[in-house]
Amino acid sequence: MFFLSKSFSYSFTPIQIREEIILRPVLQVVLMYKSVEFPTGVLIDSGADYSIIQREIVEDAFNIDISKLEKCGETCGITGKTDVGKIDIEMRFGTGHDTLIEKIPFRVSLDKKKDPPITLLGRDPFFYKYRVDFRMGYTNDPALGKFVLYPETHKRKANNFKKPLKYKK
Amino acid sequence: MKKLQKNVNQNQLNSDYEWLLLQGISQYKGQWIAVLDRNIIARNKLLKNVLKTVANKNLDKIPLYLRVPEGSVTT
Repeated sequence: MFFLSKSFSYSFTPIQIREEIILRPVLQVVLMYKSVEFPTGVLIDSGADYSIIQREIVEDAFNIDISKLEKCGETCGITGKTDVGKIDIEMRFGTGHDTLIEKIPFRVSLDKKKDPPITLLGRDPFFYKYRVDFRMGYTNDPALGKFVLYPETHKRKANNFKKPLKYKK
Repeated sequence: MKKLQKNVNQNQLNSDYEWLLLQGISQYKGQWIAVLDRNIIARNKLLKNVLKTVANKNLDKIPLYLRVPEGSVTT
């Protein structure tokens, strides 16, 4: 990761579902595998333990045979339990001047019926490296909200985090 | 998927996405769309069909690809 002190802010992606407008934190990224680049949007998902990529991107954009991927575990979501494989993909995001690249170990469902509707960017490892602010209520119009990414910086040395912190009374 | 010597321009990607948000993406629910230079150049329910359409256009840039989920997303 390149160190940057600046932040990156993004608009939420609004979508109408029946009568309701849903705002989604979708990050514009370029997924890179070998020499193929695939610009797309990924949903920032702090509730997901790790990242999950859509099968179509793996198969049709990156030309990877999912049936040959080794099972690396199973995941349990709203659609039920499924076996997953793992594939390391580089992800680029930011602006033209400040571009960040991270290697993300994406999981991919080995079951065609258990594919996520959008690629999810989960906590491990992204949230260990970036702080994500959701600013949804700072105006009267929720559509004017934004989410902001900051490269994580620690003022305290890592050694000081070994012991659990005591609560202040 | 077209292989380019040059990287995708990040500013172009961000600009196309911002444009897309202003158009409203609800009409494309359940579909993959390809966006380039503030135009939707292909759309289909299957990504492979969108990739094929884009490949036939012999473009010198890679478009943004996005699938618009049909319903609510929960994990």
